[in-house]
Amino acid sequence: MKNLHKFIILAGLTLGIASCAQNTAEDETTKKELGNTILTTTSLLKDLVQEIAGNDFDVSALMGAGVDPHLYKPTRSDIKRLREADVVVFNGIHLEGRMSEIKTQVAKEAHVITASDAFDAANLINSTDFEDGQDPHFWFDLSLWVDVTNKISQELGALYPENQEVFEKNAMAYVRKLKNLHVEIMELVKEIPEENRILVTSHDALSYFARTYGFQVKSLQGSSTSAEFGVKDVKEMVDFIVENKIPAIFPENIVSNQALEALIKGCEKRGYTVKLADELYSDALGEDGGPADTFIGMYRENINTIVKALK
Amino acid sequence: MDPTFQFVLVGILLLSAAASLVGTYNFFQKQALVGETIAHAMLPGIVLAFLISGVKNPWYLLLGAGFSGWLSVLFIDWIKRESKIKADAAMAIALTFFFGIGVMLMVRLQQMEIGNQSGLDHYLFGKAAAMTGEDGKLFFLTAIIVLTLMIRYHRDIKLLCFNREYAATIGVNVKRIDFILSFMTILVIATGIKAAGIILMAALVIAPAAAASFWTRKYATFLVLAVGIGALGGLSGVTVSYYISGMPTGPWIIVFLFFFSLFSMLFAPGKGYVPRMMLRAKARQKIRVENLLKSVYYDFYRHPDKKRILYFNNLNKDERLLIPHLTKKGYVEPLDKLHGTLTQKGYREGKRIYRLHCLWEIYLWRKMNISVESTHSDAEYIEHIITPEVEKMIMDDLGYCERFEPLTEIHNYLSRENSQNTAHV
Amino acid sequence: MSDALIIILVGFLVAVNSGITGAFMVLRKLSMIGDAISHAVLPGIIIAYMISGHRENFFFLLGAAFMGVFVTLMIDWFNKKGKLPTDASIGLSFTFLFAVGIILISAFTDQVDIDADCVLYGEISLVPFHTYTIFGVEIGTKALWDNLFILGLILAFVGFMYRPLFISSFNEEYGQSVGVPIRSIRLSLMILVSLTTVFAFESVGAILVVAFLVIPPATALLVSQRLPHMLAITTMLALFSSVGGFFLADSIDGSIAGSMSFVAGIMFVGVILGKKFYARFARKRFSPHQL
Repeated sequence: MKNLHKFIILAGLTLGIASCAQNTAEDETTKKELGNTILTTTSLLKDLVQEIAGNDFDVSALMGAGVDPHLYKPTRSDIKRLREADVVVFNGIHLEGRMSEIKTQVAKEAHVITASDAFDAANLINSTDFEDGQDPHFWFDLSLWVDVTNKISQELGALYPENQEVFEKNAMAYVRKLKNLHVEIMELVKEIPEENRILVTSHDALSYFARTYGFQVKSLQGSSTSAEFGVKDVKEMVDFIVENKIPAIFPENIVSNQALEALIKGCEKRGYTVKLADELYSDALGEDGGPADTFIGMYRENINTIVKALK
Repeated sequence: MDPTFQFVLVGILLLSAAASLVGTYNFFQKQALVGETIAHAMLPGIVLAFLISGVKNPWYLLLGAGFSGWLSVLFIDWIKRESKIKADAAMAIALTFFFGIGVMLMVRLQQMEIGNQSGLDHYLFGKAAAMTGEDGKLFFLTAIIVLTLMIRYHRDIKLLCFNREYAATIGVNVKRIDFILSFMTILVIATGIKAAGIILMAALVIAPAAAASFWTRKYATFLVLAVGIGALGGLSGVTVSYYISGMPTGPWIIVFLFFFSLFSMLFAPGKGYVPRMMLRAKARQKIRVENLLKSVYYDFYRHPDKKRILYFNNLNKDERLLIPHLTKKGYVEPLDKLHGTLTQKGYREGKRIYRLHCLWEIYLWRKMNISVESTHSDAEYIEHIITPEVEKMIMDDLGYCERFEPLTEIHNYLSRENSQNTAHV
Repeated sequence: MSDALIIILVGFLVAVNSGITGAFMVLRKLSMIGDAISHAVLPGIIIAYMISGHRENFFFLLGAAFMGVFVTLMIDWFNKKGKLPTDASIGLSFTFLFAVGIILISAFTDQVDIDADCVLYGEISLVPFHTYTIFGVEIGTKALWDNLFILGLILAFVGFMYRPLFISSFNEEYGQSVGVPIRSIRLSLMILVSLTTVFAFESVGAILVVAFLVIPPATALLVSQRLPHMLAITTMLALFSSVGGFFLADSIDGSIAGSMSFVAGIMFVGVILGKKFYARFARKRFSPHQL
């Protein structure tokens, strides 16, 4: 019983401290002076914002190269960066998982931009029966990425009126680059015979790419990393590969290659050889200094891999 | 037959055999969750292997995983040896301690911005439906090793399962056997996890042993049953996922194994829940019947004037409900709606129970020197359990011949006591 | 209040909540229950999503809490009525529920990323960013209030039920014979544990809760086998591991949850080693050979 009293005193103390929190928290809600630190959640967004803002701004990403947004765990220094940032850019559509919930609180101290607000939700792919079951990998649709570019440049322009012209200029240049990339991809895709335009992947992240360039995407697992498949699914996929004479299948770096190896073995037994192509990038950029360290570089790497494998 | 189906089926059967064998030992050691623990404790090894090698090669990762899994098993053994902490707590501590280190390493890795790190935490863990012939060969080797070791050391392992202290005193090298057993556990889980994933491995270690434990008390039968149940679960899961699309293989195996265990738990003769409950209900019914017959008999015995008429209205509700049952059994003969009488058989049965009751009272009174009044409640309980053999032993012990009548003895005792009391007053 | 203080306080509260309930679990050989619940919540989450059709925390929490209670009752039934050892009961129940969750995902929601990691487990470093607001006034950190509420529940339960809990934790048969309502005590304890665990998952994630459920109480059990001492030591260890873990994470800029469970584990190892060396020292000192 004595211990119970101790606990109650302890609980009371904690409560007291918690209620103090409320007083100080109110003081902090006033926004600090606008500096030029911009923080993005993913490395893809960091690349985009850097292109728009130029070198006068300090742009960094919470999730660095190769970091899977589903697995990202913030550390103390990340929290400090979040607190100190002047502008924070989120991807939206639940890509950040439970981290997207902190938006309201972050918005009290910094300016928050959500990339997915740039376009109408009707543009998103939703292959489920659920209202908010949209696929968050929208950056593979370049037209949506152009919308995001314009939106970020506008928002930044409103925040830093003195830099507005620079932003607009940079954004226009970047949009031009994206459009060139689009044209380039259209040309490259033509090299792939129509009947070969099928992407068999281990994890479904390419549906926006497929929609834009007329590919069909097949995956064993769907876009959920927790989903599993059965023997019949593997068998049907093998049948599909053999029937459509698909030359190559694509691994993705998020899940094990085991499933794809099983497909290759299954095809082998049926007397058909299917290649394992190089890895595709999906949720994060490649290492710094590598060919895929920018959005455009990454996209080009992906399309080269696809064309090389399916030609 | 479809090659995918063959690969997966053969792989699963071999894997489940090896895992069930390893599971039996761990079941007895109260560490059924060892698979789950090792699987989680593999995380730091996986991250370190990736940091050292820099490539996401499953074999390197498996090496690291096996190493840190092994360390976690040593850690569990160390905790159990050095303290009084029980196996379950030791495993939970090992799991969280190692996994915590793993999470710290993962975050360190995240800050290093190495391009191909994503998905590292579950990269190593496969899915049962994607097993290949190579996996099958690996499992074959594993199963052979496990089986050889189990057969080679079966006597020692059996002793260790049932009583460690005893095994140590008769000269079993406990440390070596422990080493061999933990080696087998690690081997099975590490090879299995790459092809079948964490949760299926955890279940394959637990469920077959748990289900088999309800059916037998013999060690060898237990092993065979566990392997059989594991194989059946594997076969059912693979079959379901072969005939219906979108049905994941591993989870269905777990579901089948769960229902096999549940079935065993409910219906296994002797140890199952339903047979136990039925036995209990039967015993209760027997006690109720015997109590009723005894009290009716006693009533008739004490009140010969009642002409052996049983008034149903004088019985309480539960007893009245027993009447049809007693009639069917031929203990009671109803005369009309409200009256009945005991048959010859019923009278004899009531007398038998009452006789046993008295006999026990006398036994306690004579041998333990407890007064007859205070032995009554004990006798109320014992009277239902005494078998003819026990009865004979009591009679012999008291030195009575078979014609001895405890009823009269008790009667005389009680009337003597009564008269003494009255005399005293 | 600074972020650091909030994180330490939340860590401490979670550690105390898990530690107190965990002490009873360790005594009942149910230490792995935290890990079991962390897996078993999956079907609850998926079903909640399928019914509501929305990614709404409240529904996920509801589904998870329901499944958390369900799995503890299932474990209890298997153990007490089914006569299966506690560890096998735990293993059987959670692997089954997790498998059901995976089957549901594969059949219905394989195009959405919904699992416990994405939608249920919180992250301790982010707790300062979740606050409660009532009528436009911010009233402090959400995780603090949530866990304080749970602490209140636990203290009320332990306070009112101290004697029956105490008796039934060490000897159920004895408790039964002196008329303690063993069954209802046990069931309410199990429900309390599952609610504590699920709420703590929502605030700080799984690993920290699973660690705090077992390591501090087990360490306390090394030092004292008296329940009041055990609870007091558990609280102290909770404080040490949350503060120590935080500063370790701060100095290496690492994972806070990982560091806190690491520090708790190190303290456990330290106590075993300390006891061992103390015993050796004591034996030497009083050894008759030295006379």
